[in-house]
Amino acid sequence: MIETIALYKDFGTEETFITHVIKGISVTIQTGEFVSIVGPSGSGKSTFLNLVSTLQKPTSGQILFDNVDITTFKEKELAEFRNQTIGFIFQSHHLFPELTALENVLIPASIATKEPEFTNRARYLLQRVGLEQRENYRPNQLSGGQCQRVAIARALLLKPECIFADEPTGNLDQKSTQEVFELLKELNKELKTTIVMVTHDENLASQVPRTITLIDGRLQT
Amino acid sequence: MNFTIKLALKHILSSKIQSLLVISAVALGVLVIIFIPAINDGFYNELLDKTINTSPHLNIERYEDTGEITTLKVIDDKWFLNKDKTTLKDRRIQSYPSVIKNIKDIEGIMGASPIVVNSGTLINGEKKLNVQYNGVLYPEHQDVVDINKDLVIGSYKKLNPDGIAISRKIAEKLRLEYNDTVVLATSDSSKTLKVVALYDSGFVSKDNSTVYVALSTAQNLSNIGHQVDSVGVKIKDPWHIESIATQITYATGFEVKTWKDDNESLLSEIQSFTYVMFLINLTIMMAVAAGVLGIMIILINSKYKQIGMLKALGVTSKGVMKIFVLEGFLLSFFGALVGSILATLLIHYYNSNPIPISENYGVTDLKGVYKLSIYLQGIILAFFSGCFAAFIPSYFASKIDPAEVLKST
Repeated sequence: MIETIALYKDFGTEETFITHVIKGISVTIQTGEFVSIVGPSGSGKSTFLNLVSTLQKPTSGQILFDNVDITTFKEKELAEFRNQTIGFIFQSHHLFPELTALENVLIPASIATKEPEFTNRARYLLQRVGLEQRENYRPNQLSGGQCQRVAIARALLLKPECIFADEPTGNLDQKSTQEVFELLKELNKELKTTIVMVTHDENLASQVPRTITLIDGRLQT
Repeated sequence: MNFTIKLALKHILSSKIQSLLVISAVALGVLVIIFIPAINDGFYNELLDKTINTSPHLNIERYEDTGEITTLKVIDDKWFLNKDKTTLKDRRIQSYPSVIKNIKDIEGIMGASPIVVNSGTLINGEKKLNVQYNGVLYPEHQDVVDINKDLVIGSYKKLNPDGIAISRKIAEKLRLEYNDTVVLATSDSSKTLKVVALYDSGFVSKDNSTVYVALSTAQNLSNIGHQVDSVGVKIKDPWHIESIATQITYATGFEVKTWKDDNESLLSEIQSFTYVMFLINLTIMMAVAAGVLGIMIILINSKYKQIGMLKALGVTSKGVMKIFVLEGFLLSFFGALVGSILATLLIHYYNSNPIPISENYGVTDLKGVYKLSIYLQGIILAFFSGCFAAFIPSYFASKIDPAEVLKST
């Protein structure tokens, strides 16, 4: 379960100009939920996602992950948390061009020095996202949709409790968008992984069981 | 394979041009900082070898007064200045056999032989040449200085009281040939001698003025009876001569002058030049490091999104740094390896086709040496500069905000 309590995020300094981006958001996301975060451009969707996914520190407030305040984590704890407990999918796949599809999927295990024990799972996930024939392909030999599916497999490798997806279909065509989204829905249902997805695609958001709308850094009730 | 090593290797292999540029820059630097000192050391080694082995490693001499000693004397209540001149005779060794006997048990001594040194004039008809004659005992002197290695014709065995050994250059100047006779004249007397040997040491100063005669002949020409100027000594390890010199002084009571004392300025020059050489090498490697730094900055900048992703996937700042510093380390290693191989090939080629140089110092060919310390210096400098060049951009890269670099598409 993820719970944010009075979460604030400011940018800038008093000497220059302070921008209040997140203005006291308190929200709870249950384990296994598929939540979409929507809102107009500049409403703070991505910043909110960065905060709950530990990529940025809040100015104030708490983020409880299974009742543990992750805002107090030091760098080493944060790194371990990002590696073991959560997964990321970005708008751009951010695959490593030097590595094959299989090697890219295995990166989280390699970082955790558990590569051998996760090789079979990486192959299974590639099969699950329909790329079992492409495991030795490099990103430049795959289409945008295929790369995004490899990125999903990578995010799922270490069985994370939660996946944070920031516009995961933003760079894809309509067909690939629907394929990737269906895949995320299936994985959420099948693996019971919590998915928090930022999107500006109203069609996708409408297909997600719960939608959180942000307006000017605040929750729209 | 460890992820850090694997990713560093993948980066190197995927950025072939940048990697080759770094390897080439380091290799070029290592090539220069190995090759130049190798040639330099080769020259000095040969120069020192010739310097050490063309004269005794040390000479035992009697204490030399500075010349006049002025003292005050009181006679009939009047003060007088008294000037006491120390004569040459007083400074010679009266009994060289006892000196040799006193030092024969000192460990590390290979040979000892008496020497008389004086100046005279060689006369062949109308031709005259001022020379320094060395009176030596043969074969004892051979145990102190290998004079046979410079022999061109004849034999030092024939260096009897009527024989003389001269250099090929002196022979040319005086139009003398082997077995010819020549007059050696001093202020006290003169003697007609037969040329029994011709030598060529390669040292211009020695070849222009030094001749060898029998010890007794030199003593007679100098009118010094059975005295000698010094006892020349050869020791096992000329580089560690100081302790033996002290032991000899203690055993004989005489002054000992080592080859290091005679070549103080040369040794000091070599030391200074070695230091300057190190500074030059350091400067070269700093220039190489600047080049590597530029390439590494480009290389690391192109990986900013990847660094962001690594952090999002659970790599710490330290872990990010490790990857790129390892890259710098590996590239420097390959650069140093290639540079060392190229330097070895260049030294080999150079030694096969040496450049002839002036014979003034007795060194005729400028040859390079394969010396471990030179290679180590080159490799260590390359490592440090490569790693340092990789460290700076890696440090800044490790501090990047993943949210910042991953948000843009």
